[in-house]
Amino acid sequence: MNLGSTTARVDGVVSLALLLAVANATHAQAQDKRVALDLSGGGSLTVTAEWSPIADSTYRIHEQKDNASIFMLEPAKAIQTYSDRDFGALLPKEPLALGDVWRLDQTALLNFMRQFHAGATTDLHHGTGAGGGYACLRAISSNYAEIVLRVNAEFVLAPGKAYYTPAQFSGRVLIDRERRHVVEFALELPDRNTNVDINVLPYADIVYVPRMRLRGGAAPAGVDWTEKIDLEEAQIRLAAKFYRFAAIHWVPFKDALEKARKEKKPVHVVVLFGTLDDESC
Amino acid sequence: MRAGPLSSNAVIDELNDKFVNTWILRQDVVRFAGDAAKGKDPRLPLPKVAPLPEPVDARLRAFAAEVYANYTYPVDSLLLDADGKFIAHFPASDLFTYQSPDQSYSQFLQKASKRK
Repeated sequence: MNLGSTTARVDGVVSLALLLAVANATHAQAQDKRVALDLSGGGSLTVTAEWSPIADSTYRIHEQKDNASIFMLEPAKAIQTYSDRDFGALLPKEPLALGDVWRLDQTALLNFMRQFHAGATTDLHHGTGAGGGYACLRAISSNYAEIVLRVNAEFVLAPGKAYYTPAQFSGRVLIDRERRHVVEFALELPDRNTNVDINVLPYADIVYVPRMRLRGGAAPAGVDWTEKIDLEEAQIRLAAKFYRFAAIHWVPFKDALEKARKEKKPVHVVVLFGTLDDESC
Repeated sequence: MRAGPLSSNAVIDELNDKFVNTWILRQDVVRFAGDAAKGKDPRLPLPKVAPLPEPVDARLRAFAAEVYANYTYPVDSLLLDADGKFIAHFPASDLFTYQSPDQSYSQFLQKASKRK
C-alpha cells in the first residue's frame, strides 16, 4: 500500500498555493454530493504496531550511557483490537463532500497513538501548537470510502526531560460503506532519513527510525472509485492545515536560480537540518 | 522558523511578491555542491549522503556552493541575488534574540531590495 508522504525531496516541494487553488475549485463542485460515513456495523479491526530502534543519528545522544535505556522503545501494545466505534470517533457527525478536511478529535486520536507509548500527546513540547491530526475524504464509491490522515504527535519519554517527536504520521482508513465497517487502517512514520527529532533536554538530535507504524486489515482488490482526488492533493490539503507557510510559493532548489534570473528576483533559501513541512526539525 | 516568521501573513505576502522561494535540507545542499562543500567547517561533519543520480550542472553546483559557504548550522535563511551571489542570511537561532521576530525577518528581507 502506497500511503505516500511529505518526504524530504532533494529538489524541494511543489507550489502548494497553486495546487490549493485548483483543489478549492474542485472542492466547490463536489459540495452538493455529500456522503454520510456510518460506522455502526458493530465490527472490529485488529491493529499491529511496529517500532524499530533508531538506526542512524547525528550526535548519537540516544546511545549515551544515561540515555540508552530511555530510547530502548517498543510498542506499548504490539496488537490491539479497535471497534468500529473507536474509528467512528475519528469521523465528523455531518455528511462529507469529497476533499473535505476535518480536525481529528484528540481523545479519539490518542486512543490509537497510545498503542505505541503511554506518553503519546498532541501537545508538542516545543510549544508551537502544531500538534494534532486532520483527515481528508479522498475517494468514494458506492461501496467504499477512503480517508487519508495526517497526524503530528510526540511521545513523552520522561516528563520535562526526554521527548520523541516523529516528523509526522500519514495514514489511511478504508471504510466498507455497505457493512458500515473499517476494513483497513494504517498510520505510519514516513521512511526517510531524519524522520524523528529526539530531545534529552537541553540536547537534541535528529535521527532515522526505519519503521514506526500501526496497521490492520487489508484493502479489497480492485476498488473502482467513482470520485476521488489525487493522493498528493489530499496530502497538500492536510499539510496546509498544519502550516501557514504552505501559502508561500515554494519551488524546487534546482529550479530556483533559473526562475530568479527570468523574473529578476532574488532567491530566498531556507536550509534546514530536517524537513520544513513536518515536525522532524 | 516554520511557526514564526514564515507563518506571518506580512512575511508570506512579501516572499510571494518579491522573491523566488525554496527550501532544502543541508544534506542535499552538500550533494549539489559536491567537492565545494568540503572544508567549510572541520568541526561539523558532512552528512553521509549518496551522490545524486545525475550530474549537476556547473551553475547549480556553484549556487549550492555559495549557499553552503554562507549557511550557519542548523537552520538558516539566506538571500542570494538573481545571479546566485550571497546577500545576507538570518540564522534561526537569531530569532530568539528579537522581540519581534516577524518584523526582524521583514527587515532581513529588505536587504535584498537594497542590493540592486
